Amino acid sequence: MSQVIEKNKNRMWLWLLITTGFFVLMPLWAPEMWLHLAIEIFIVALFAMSLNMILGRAGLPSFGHACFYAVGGYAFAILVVKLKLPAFIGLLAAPFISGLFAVIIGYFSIRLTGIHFAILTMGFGQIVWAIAHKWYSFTGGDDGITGIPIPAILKQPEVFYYLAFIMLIVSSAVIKVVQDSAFGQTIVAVRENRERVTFSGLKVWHHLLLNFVIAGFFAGIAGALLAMVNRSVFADFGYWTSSAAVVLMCILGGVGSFVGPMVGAVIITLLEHYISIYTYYWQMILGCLIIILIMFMPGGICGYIQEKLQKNEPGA
Amino acid sequence: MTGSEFLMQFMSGLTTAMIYFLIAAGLTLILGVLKIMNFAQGGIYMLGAYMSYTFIKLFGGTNYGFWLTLAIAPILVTAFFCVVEVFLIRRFYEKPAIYILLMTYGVLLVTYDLARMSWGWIIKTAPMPPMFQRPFEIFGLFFPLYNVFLIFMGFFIFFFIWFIINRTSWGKIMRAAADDREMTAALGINVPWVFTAVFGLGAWIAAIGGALVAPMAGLSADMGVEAGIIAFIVVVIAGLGSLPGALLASFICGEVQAFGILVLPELAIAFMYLVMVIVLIVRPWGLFGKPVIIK
Amino acid sequence: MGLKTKRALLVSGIFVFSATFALLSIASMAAAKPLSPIKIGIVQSVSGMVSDFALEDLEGFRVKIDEVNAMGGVDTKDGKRQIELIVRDNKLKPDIAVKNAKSLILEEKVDFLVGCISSSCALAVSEVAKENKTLFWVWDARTHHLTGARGHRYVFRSTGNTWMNGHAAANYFKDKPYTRYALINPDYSYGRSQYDAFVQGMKSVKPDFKLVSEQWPKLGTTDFTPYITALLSAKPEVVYTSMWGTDAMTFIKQAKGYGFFKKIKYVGLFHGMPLLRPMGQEMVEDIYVLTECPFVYPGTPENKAFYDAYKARTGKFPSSYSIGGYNAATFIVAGIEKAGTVENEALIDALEGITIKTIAPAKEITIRKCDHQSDYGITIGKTVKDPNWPWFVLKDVEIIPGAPTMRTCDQIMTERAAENK
Repeated sequence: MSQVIEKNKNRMWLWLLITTGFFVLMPLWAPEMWLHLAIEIFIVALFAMSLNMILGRAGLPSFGHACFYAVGGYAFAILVVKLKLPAFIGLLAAPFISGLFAVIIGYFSIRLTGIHFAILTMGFGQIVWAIAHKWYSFTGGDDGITGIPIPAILKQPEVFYYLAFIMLIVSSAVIKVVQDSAFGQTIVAVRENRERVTFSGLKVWHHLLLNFVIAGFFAGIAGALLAMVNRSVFADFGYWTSSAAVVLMCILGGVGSFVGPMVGAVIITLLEHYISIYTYYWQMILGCLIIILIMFMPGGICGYIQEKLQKNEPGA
Repeated sequence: MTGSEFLMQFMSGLTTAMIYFLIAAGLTLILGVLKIMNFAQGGIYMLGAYMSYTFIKLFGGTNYGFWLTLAIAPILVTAFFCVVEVFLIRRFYEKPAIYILLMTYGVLLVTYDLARMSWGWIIKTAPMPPMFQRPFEIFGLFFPLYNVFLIFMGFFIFFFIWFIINRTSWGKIMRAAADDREMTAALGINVPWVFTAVFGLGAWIAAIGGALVAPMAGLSADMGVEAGIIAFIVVVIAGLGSLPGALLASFICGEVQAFGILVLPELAIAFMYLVMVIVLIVRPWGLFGKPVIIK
Repeated sequence: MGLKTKRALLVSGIFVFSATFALLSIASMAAAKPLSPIKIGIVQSVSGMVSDFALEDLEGFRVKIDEVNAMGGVDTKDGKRQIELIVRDNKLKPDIAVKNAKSLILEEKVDFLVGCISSSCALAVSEVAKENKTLFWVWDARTHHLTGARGHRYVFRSTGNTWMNGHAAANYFKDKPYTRYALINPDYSYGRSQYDAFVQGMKSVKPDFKLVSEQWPKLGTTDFTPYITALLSAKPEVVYTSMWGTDAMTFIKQAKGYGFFKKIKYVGLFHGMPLLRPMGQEMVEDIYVLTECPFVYPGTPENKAFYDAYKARTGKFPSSYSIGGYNAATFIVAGIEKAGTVENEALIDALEGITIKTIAPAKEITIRKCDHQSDYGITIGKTVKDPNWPWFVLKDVEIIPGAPTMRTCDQIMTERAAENK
């Protein structure tokens, strides 16, 4: 048994090395559009991973996660455009502002579970969206904030590509460390049996709130990066359909696996980009994909592969 | 502001409230009994409206055609969504909430494009039945008769569902199944079909809401998105699954909207959200909901 | 079928699916033809709330391109070249529009970009165009910032803008006896710009202008009754609105029941074909409609030729949106012929100050050199039943010229300087 795990672990490291190498070398040969798509994928993957801390690890169905994404983007845009701060300070500050929002929203919603949690997070998300959509003097209303100035060097897609890539790697490493820590294990224990953990004397909701805030923090990084790469930010980033899209990525990739959300982000981003070239009815295709996914692969792609691997390992 | 203007505005608010209630009542029922959030509800409402458009046109915009449409169109839409429930939703009631949330979202997306494929891109509107093309007079004030009819229908639907749930054996079974599935099943009741019936009833209410709106509004595939948000806000204010709560929440939202725009017209878009914010801060479980706080 | 087979089927399905997509995209990239056609990239919201208008203006654009292609193509220095259109749907989302614009420039290697019906989309794509030094032609997004404060060398617009619309309406009311006005506009940036432009315009031309009520319903409101009663109790003489689509339709249907149109003069911006056609006999007589080209406008031969070509192509009659698309394509073709090339810098120089003839009542449209904004005029007419058509048409059409409603070049340049500071 332990040998099998060891073998899987080695294999995992190998795969990790190959994928990292692939992405590091990509700017050398790939056409420019691929870099743009890759940048978007890195950002969305980070966003999906941050959601998975709530959705997968804590087992709480958040339908308002996009609001932290939008807050991150707006925080960056407002700091850079209105306060004329340098872009890197904006990028540093944005996740903390998102985290602050997560504290407030988490405080109200984290004590609930299941459907109630979903509805409350969605409600708060919609409120943030409504504020961004309406407050013209501060957020630019539904026109958003466009033409955000960023350092000239970052306008080169290769440079931004590496920035987004490094942000993704560092953030996912931090998320991994958090998940493997005692704290992370407690979150999973709460998901499995909330009462038992409560009886053990732990303040469950403190842990869940902290977890929620960390997730909001990383969503803020993703949002700030998106605002940077688009040079613009819009209220629609925080609309509930945006939250639903990222939930879909997590479920598609597999919430039970660390790389699952990333896989989901890759597939959905590419699919959306290429489907809409060939048809105006992309929502139909996306909808069917969701239905098929939930009917036949509720564990997501990574869950499905894991299941297969376990079956094929003799003696496992 | 004179007394008659006040009354006019109050009646307008009541009309708005009843439209909100018709949109949200089905979702309330589904939430209360099945404990699921149905994102497709807005899509059902939209299909109900489009289906009525087709039938009203088919019957040549006559009075009896309108009544026939009200009888037929919502039933057809309901039948379609009962099939959806049986094949796509039923098996996930016991699974984590996220599956049904996402599934109904998928159904919403499909519904949206189905409507665009079947009815085309161009906005539609059904003709107003001739019998409603005259005003209704009360205290020397004139209201469109259709608005009065709409207010009546809102109350009718409310008492209809309330009666089914609280005064019939069907309602007893529903409530029992909602409280304890296994126990109800042990009594020899086919719980899955009870759930399908509840889902169907919820869908029927949304579809009839759409059918009632069809002659008085422009129809586009996007109307479902807006309706979904309205339904969502109303159930949050009401407390999940509370029918009287939904009526009260609709009433508050409608009247706040109607009188709010007289004082602060530029906040029209925000009034519903403001009511929701206040309720979420003061009573996060809604006006009529039960506190579900877990330590 | 066992669970396992089902899953295997599914997985193989996904593989086939994605492989096809990959192959198709590679194929589309590899396809390079010897005498290459001119490629125009279109960023448009063909799904989402405004899809029917977006499709109408796209069809109008296509009618012109088809005409040119049928004649062998457009004349350039190297000979006649066909024109190819590549459409990307931005789902009414500005961030997707940005991605589409990049993809069109980088993947499809289009010569320039056109499109965008929503203002936020146009502003966002305009930034991409500026960075990539690619021409971007807009005809349906109306925000005056696009060619005003946020304008630059690479962006053009062949329709009027919010500023011009509001001032045109104000010019119309200048000599009318009405003093009590109420406004109802959808609460998003378009409605707000129309509100600002109209109020500013009225204040400058009519000192006794009085705004008795303003209402801001949400875009996509289902129930306007509170707004209707609020407007009625303010007792205005004129209600001016920039609502469109289902909003305008719903408002008119619900207001009819209150006898609204008997008491108040209702003036609707862009309440032309896109509203008159779907409303059919449900429309109300004596509503004032502002539109750039009223339906069945005096049938000149060119006018009729366009209507027939459009009808043949789509099976429908064109609206002012379609004519906007047709005008835009006419401009672009004229510009390419004048420059003899699609090389963007030369083409832009050729397009500056260019004039075309249009089938709309404005007769001629010119692109102003300093800000790349056109002086497209607008018309106002009254709805009336017409036994020849299943919908209402406009009578007593008056033309309001566009040029006097434009801001001066100096004003624009000062604004741009302030924006770029």
